[in-house]
Amino acid sequence: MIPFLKVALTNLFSKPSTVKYPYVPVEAKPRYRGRIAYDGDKCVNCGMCVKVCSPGAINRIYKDTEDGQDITYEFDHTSCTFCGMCQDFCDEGAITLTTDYHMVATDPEDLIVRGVCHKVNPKGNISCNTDLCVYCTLCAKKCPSGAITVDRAAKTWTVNIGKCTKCGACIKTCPKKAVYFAEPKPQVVVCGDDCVYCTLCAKKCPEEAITVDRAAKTWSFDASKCVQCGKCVAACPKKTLSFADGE
Amino acid sequence: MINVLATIKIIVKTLIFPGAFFAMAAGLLLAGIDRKVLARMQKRIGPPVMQPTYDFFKLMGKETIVPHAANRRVYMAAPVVGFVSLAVMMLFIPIGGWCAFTGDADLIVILYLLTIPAVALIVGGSASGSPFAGIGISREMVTMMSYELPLIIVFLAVAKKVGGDQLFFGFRAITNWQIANGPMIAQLAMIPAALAMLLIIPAEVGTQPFDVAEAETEICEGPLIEYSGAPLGLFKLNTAVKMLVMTSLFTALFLGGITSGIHTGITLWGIAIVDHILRALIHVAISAVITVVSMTTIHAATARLKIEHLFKFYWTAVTGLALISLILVWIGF
Amino acid sequence: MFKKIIAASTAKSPWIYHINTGSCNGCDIELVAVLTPRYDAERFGFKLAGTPRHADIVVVSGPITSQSKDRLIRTLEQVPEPKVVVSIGSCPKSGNVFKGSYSVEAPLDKYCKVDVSIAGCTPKPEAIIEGLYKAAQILKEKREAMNK
Repeated sequence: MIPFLKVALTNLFSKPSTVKYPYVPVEAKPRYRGRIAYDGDKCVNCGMCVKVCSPGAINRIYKDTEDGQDITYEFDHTSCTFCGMCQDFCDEGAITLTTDYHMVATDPEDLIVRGVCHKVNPKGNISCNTDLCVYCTLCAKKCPSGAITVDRAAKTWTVNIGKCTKCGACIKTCPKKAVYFAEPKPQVVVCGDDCVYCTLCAKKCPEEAITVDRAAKTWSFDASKCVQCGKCVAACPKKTLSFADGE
Repeated sequence: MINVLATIKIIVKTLIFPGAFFAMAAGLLLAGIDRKVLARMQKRIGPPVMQPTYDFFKLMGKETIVPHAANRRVYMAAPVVGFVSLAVMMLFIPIGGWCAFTGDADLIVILYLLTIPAVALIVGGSASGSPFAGIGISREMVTMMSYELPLIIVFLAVAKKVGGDQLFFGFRAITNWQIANGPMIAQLAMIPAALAMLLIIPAEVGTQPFDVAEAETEICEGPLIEYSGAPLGLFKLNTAVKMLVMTSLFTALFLGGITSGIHTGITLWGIAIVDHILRALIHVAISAVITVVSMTTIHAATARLKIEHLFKFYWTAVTGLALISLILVWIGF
Repeated sequence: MFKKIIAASTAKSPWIYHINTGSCNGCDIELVAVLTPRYDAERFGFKLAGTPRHADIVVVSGPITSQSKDRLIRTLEQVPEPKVVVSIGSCPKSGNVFKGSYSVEAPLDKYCKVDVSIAGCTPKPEAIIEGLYKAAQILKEKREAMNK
């Protein structure tokens, strides 16, 4: 009892160790996982976050728009475990768990973070109807990435598909309305001859569209499940996966 | 006419000073000081000094629930009886050498009145019909038995010291003796009794190491388990007023007459009001110091005892201290 | 005037009763941490009450298991008016990772009105202080509504 008395009396004449919290703001430590911040511009709607979220706190609402879809992501903080898996699995860096810990609400709606990801329907490649084209070179001049080359003398019109960003500036500027987006062809993932059946692509696929059987050395792809996020192509160690037009 | 004035005086004494209102205000203030100093001893900032007052007023505004199993009348009357007895006790205890009522056997009356708040707690708890309250009241009874014995011996020692050949139980005699011979605590023979009294105060009030009867973490506040709203507020008020009563009792017994030297000579309606106010303020300040010494420091440095340890502690250590004083006084020190 | 004093005191003296309905203890520890010298919620008059009869604010943690459901409802009924229910952590509001289990009966909203919900798994003690402070203000509003 005597040592405790000593501590009590020394405490009485020393400064209290209390943090004067509501009057003095307190910052959380740098890696604290608090309120989720979602950046819809970066998101590619791969759905990996929804898949890894163990309490099922992420919800997607789809809404069709003129040129694609608006996908509203709802992060429900009354359901979240703040494990940070969605952040870790988001390759695009669209999800971050901020250090904001002030998640107190009288209305549960305040605890839901919403963000809209806009997905444009895939467009076909730029092409030119040479029957209408007068080779005025306006489209080439307007192209922001310099993907179009027009030779007035030789009367040729070529487009570099690799450079084209499908912005549509050439279509708007064409006086003859000759430039257009060709009908999109369904994109599929194809596997080349170098495949070693490592299953990495299957593991990375958020929609389980790829199945690889290591023993039987088969690689199969389900086009109906694919969302064309490109994760498998990026993950392939042999660089043998690629997008292709077709069924 | 004189009768009317006397009646008004008695009513003022009972209801305002030093009765109900003064006891309430000073008791709540002491409880606040206790909580604040305790917090500082635990390296916290602690609640405002007004906190027990806020608690009291909040409880007054809460819904009062009477359980089905309870005896409604006894259940509601118990805290009131406790408070009334405490307020009456304040009339007998001298404040700055002056007390409202005085007689030849004040200490005996106080001894009986002191048991009433504890009995009120026991009766109220048993009326609530909760098994937790059952455990609580059995503990409260044991606690009462433990501190009553040394308390009686302390009273005897003081009475013998004042009386010489006989026993003087009146506060007027005790105060006058102390004005003449200096405070009781300065007497060598009375120091053990004063120590014993300091150790009796926390048990009587029911603060930390001796709050076995109301242990909120193990038996859910014991006798108070079913109480809510205004009766609970009154019980909390009783605890606070007990602090004032017990510390005042210590002041009267061992530090009596310290403030009796104050004379400003200002009178209103024939009463020396300024003197009374000054003395009351000094009295409350002394009470606060005793609260901090006897309750807060012990609270901060100890954990709750078991009921058998409490009983053993009071009937050996504290009774021993009181007995030493009594024997020393008896043989003439 | 007396009623005004009572309403003002109600906001300054909220007593907490904590119910654990199958929580992992994370939220419970953080709630206790709020009362330690470092955070010291007693500055605002918060105190842990031993019985629901003394409580003003009921703090519920855990995903409400089937076993604790009846006890929770009974305890909530024992609290005298005015009372405020605070859910702490994700579990009482949704069931968190236990959602959909055969033995979990979340959310708490099915049984009573949740006045303040503190999100986090577990919330920081600062967030809990903030939530309880908000709860105390709601308590005062409820007391004032009782006057009318």
